[in-house]
Amino acid sequence: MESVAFAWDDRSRIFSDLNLEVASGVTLLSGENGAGKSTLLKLAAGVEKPDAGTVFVNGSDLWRREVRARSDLAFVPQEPDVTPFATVREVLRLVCRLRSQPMEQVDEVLAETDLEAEAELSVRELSRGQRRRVLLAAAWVGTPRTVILDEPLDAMDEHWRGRIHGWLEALREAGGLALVATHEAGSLGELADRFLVLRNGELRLDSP
Amino acid sequence: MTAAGLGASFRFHLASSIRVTLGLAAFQLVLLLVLVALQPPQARALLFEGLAAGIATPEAFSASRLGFALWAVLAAAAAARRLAPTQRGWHLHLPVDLRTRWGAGVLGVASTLPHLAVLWILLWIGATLLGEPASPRALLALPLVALGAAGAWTPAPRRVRACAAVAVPLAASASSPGLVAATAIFALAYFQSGRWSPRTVRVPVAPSSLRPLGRRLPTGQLVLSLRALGLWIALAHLPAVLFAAPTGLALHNNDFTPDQSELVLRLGTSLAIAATVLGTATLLNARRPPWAWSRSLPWSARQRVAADAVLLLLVASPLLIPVLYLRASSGLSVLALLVFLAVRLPGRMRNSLRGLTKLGTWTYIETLLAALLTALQPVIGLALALASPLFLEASARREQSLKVGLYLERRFDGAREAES
Repeated sequence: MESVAFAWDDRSRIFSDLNLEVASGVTLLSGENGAGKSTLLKLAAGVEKPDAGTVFVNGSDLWRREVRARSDLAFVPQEPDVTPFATVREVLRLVCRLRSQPMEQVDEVLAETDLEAEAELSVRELSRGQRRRVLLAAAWVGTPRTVILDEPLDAMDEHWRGRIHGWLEALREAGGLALVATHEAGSLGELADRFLVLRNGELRLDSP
Repeated sequence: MTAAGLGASFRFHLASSIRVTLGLAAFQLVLLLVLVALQPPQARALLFEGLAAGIATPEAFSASRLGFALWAVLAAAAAARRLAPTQRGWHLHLPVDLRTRWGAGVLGVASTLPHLAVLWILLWIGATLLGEPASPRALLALPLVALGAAGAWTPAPRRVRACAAVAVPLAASASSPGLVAATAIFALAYFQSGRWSPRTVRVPVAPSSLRPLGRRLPTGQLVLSLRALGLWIALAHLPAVLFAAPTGLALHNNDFTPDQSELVLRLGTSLAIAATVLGTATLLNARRPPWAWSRSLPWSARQRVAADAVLLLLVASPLLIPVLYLRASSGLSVLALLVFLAVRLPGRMRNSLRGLTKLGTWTYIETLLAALLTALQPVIGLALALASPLFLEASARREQSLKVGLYLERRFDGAREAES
């Protein structure tokens, strides 16, 4: 991120001149409630566009080369934001298609996330934990090497916490990049290569 | 071809086809019925009479028959895609020769077009009842059109499918030489279908040239938008009636000069199109919350607004049929207006956080102004359509700069809380 500025409206400026470079490995992002962690991740994932400045993912400008920059990127937000007008399978098929992956992957990730029985349901019929698993399944389609996770352990039981832990570990070993916002630095801390703290719209590197 | 083999294979394909037919035909017919039912009675009668005369006419060139043939090809493409799994896999080892297998496959795909056949026959009967010239050859053309359309998509080498595809327009001409040529070419396709190995041929899903287009314009988003609209989509055509009905009555009850009647027709249709597009955009804006997370997926803002533009085009384009039929030149200028509105409004939909309709007053003024100007001066419509890439780009910029979190919070969270 280069000189990124962002405000929701005229009265609430979140960032005014934010610079951040995330290297491969696992980077944990912490900060108080309302510090702007989720907003930072949304800017990094291309959900929100900065008012000024540039965001690069894998060397491509997120808003000028949209498809290329997002092709190897997965984002799992804290709030499971899935359209109510599609079934779980349809959402995953869309992700497969956009990431140019074979449709067989849909069944594979459904099996991996234990969502086979819910495949034909709308997200309206799913619990919050199941909705988060849908986004997790979408993140696993095509195994992107850049992942952005917002409170990934939230609403997950021990089994799924272990699975996420394992995923991040495998990603790290494969040379991928993970930017993770979490309040639970303890359980993910052992994986982290670096810690970032966000305070008053500014980032500070913290020692592991 | 062995009769037993063909019978057994066809029964197998027919069982699959019936399921596919129910899904595909029901959708097509409901869409057609809704669009026809929403027309004012006089326009409906005009449409019916025109289609009936066009289907039954002994003349070789008939836009109605060609339109139905195109519909058959598109419907067969969708059906063949759904039936593709029955054309490969385990049953390839069964003792049925390749021609029989292809023939049964073609019959299976053709069996998914009964709705089209019934409409064709009903229109032909309608033409005879109305005293229009009706040629029996137009009825003979129907099975050939269906078989050709099905053959164009049933798995086989490209030359076989090309022959079947060529047979479609020839059959649709319903002339004696056309029917003979279509039969001969279809027979050639059947003959050729025995000379290939199905194991080495990929099942066609879409022409390779169209696949990148499919990625650029995700049909998934169209489906989601249609679901968001639901039955409310019928309401989108209601405002059009306000303009189309007086236009029809004015044309019917007055002795206008050709220039005057063209102007009235263009004005009525332009305003009807504008009202429909505005209605659809307003409904879509109100009923479909932006899907924030999906913005992190590898598609561009341009693709997302283009998908909305296609939706607006699809919803409003049936209104063009009568005007294209009555006065093609007026139809083209109104089509140009529709293209402009379809690329302009997706940007406007992502614009305003204020107001009841959420589109903003200026959007309504701009749309109606464009409709009026196009009606008065068709060149303006063409100029707007030519500039549509620029407007598409502007809409994409709006989609990019939309603060989606704020938009959701202000516009939809209240509704969500009420729902929960």
